[in-house]
Amino acid sequence: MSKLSKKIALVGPFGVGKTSLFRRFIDDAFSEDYKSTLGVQIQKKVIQMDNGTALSMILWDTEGHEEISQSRSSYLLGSHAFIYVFDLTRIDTYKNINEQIDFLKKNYPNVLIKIIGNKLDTVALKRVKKSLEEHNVNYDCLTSAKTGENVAELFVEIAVDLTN
Amino acid sequence: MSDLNKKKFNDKVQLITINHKGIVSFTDANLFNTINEGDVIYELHPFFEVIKGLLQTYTPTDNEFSFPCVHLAMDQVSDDRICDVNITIDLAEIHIVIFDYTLTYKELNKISQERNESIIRSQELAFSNKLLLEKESFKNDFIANINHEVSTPITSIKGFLDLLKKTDLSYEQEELVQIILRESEHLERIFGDMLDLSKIETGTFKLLEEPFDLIELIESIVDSYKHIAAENALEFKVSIDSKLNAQMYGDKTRIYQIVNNLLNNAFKYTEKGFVQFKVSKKGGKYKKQIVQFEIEDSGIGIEKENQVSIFEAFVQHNDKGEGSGLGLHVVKNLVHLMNGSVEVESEPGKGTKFTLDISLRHDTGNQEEEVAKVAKLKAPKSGRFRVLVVENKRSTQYLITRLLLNQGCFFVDVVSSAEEAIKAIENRTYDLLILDIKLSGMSGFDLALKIRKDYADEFIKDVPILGISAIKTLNIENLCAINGIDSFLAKPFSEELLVGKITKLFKRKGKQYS
Repeated sequence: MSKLSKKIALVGPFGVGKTSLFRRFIDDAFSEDYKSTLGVQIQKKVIQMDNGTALSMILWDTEGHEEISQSRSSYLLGSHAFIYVFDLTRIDTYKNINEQIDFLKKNYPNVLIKIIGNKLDTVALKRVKKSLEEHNVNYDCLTSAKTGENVAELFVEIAVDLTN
Repeated sequence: MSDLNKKKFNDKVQLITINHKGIVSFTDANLFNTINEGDVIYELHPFFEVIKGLLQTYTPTDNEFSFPCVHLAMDQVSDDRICDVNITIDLAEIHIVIFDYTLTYKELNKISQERNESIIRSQELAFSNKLLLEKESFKNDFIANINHEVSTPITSIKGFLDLLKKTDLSYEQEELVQIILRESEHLERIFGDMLDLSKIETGTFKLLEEPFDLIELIESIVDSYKHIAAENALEFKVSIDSKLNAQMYGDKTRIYQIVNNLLNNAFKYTEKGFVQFKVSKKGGKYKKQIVQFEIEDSGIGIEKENQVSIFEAFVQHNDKGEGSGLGLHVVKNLVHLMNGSVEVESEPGKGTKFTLDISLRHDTGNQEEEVAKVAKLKAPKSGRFRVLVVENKRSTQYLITRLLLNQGCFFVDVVSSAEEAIKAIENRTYDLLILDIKLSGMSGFDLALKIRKDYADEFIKDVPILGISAIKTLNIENLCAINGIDSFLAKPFSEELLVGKITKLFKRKGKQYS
C-alpha cells in the first residue's frame, strides 16, 4: 500500500466558513458561533483511495483576508491544492473573485484550485446563482458546512484529482 | 543573561534539531515536553510535514523559513499554543525554533473578531437587502404596469358614463349610472394608493417642494365637500385660522390627498350630525410653519382597541366593507415623509377626530441655516461606539447599520429579537441600544424595562436606549420614557435625524467622544 501526503490550504475572505468546512471534514462537527481564525491551524486526515493509496490530506486553515495577496506567503508555500472559499450570502466575498484566482494562478502555477461557495443552507439557490452569474463566478462546488452538503464530496474530489 | 531573564526566555522558546529524515536529535522541551530525542517530528504534528516540501526546494542561500502564528497542540495543555516557528535547513541538520506568543495573539484575535463580526453582518445585510429590493422592484413594476393597464379602461368607463348621464335616463337608470361611477372612482383610488405605497416602501416616492397658496387649497377642499354635506344632510363646520400664511412651499397634491382622505372618511362614516374641518397655525421655527388640520365628525367612531392599528395596511374596522384598507396607511406614510404627525381620538357611537400636523416652509428663506443646525448634531469622527441594533425587519437592520457605519465611529451588532438582545448585552458592553419597540415575542418596552430593573451591572442597566417605531399615534414618546427608553425616533428617518438623536442622547448621558 502506497502512502502520499498532500498539503491543501483553505483560503479566502474572513467569515466565509473556511474553519467550518475544515471542522466538518476533520471532525464532522459544526458550530454556529463565529470565531475568527488568527494565523493558521493545521490538521491531518487520511483518506483510503480506491487504488489502495493512503492519502494524508494536510489541511491548512488560514486566516481570512479580503485580498488573497494579504495572506502570509509561508502558509501557501508548498501547497498542492487551494480551496478558495467565498460566502454565498455576501457579495463582497466574490465580486472580485477572478482577480484573487488570477493571483493564485500566477504565483502558484501548478497548484490545483477549487472555488467553493459556502453557506448553501442559508440562501435561495436560484437567486444566488443569478448574482454569481452577474459577477462571473465560475465556482466548482456549492457547500454547506452547517448541513454537510457537498463537503465530503468536495474533499474526495480533491483527493482524486491529487492522486491521479 | 540573568537567571530570571533566562527563565522567562526558556518559558517562551523551544529549540529542536532534527536530521533530514525528521528524527529529533535535540530538544530542550521548554514548551512541549512530549517531544523526545529519537521521535519522528512528522508524527508529532501535521505542521511539520511542511519540512518535507522545504527539503526539496531549499538552497544554501534560501534556507530560512518563517511561519508566524501557527496553532500547535502537542502536549496536555487544553488550548493550542499559538507560536511563531522558524525553520533553518543546512546540509546536515534542520533547526526549529518555536516562540510561544499565545497571549499576545489571543489579544490580537479579540480585535479582529470584533472588526470581522461587524463587517460580516453589514455585508450579509447588504446582500439580503439587495435580494429584497429585487423582489420589491418586481412587485412595484408589476403594480405600476397593472395600474397603467387598469387606468386606461377606467378612464374610458368614466368618460362613457358621463356621456350616458347626459342621455334621457329613467330615475332608476340614473341611480345605476351613479353607482357604477362611484365604484369606478373607488377602484381608481385603490390602484392609486397601491402605487403610492409601493413607491414609499422602496424610497422612490418624491415629495415636491414648490410654491402654492394654502388658503386656496383649503377653500377648494371645502368647496368640494359642501355639496356632499348638503346631499347627506350633515352640518359642515369650517374654521380657517386668519393667522395662516397663504404662500407656502410643499407638495400641494399630496396635502390635498391626505386631507381629502380624512374628510372622505369622516363623511363616509357619519350618517347624522356634523363634520368639522378646522385649519390653524400651531407654531413653527426656522421659516417653518406648523399647520394643524383637525377633522372631526359625529359618526360611528372607532373602538379603542382598533385605534392602534387604524393606520396599518389592509386594516378596516367598519361594517361598510368599503375602501382598500390602504388609504390611512398611505396617509400616515405621506405625513411621516413630510416630517409631520397624525393622531386619532375616537369614541364609538360619538365620533372621531383626526389631528394632522404638517410643517411647511412659508417663504424661500435661507435653507443653509437649517442645514447648518443639523450638521452640528453629527457624531464626531473620533471615538468608537459599539451599538446593538434590535430590529426584526431586515431592511431596517441594513439601513441603520449602513447609516451608522457611514459615520466611521461605530461598531454595529444586529439582533432580531429581545431574547437575542439579552444574550448580546450579557456578553458584551454597548454604548447604545437602538431598539425597535414593536418586536415579535418580548416587546421593546419589556426589554427596556428588564434592562433597567433586572441588572446590577451599570454598563447594562444604564446603557442609553433609542427607541424606534413606525407607531406614532399613541403618545409614544411618553410611553418610551415610562418604560426606560431614553429617546425616540419615528420611522421613516433620515441619516441626519438618526445621528442627531444619537448625538443628543450621548451628550445627555455624558458619553465622551475622545
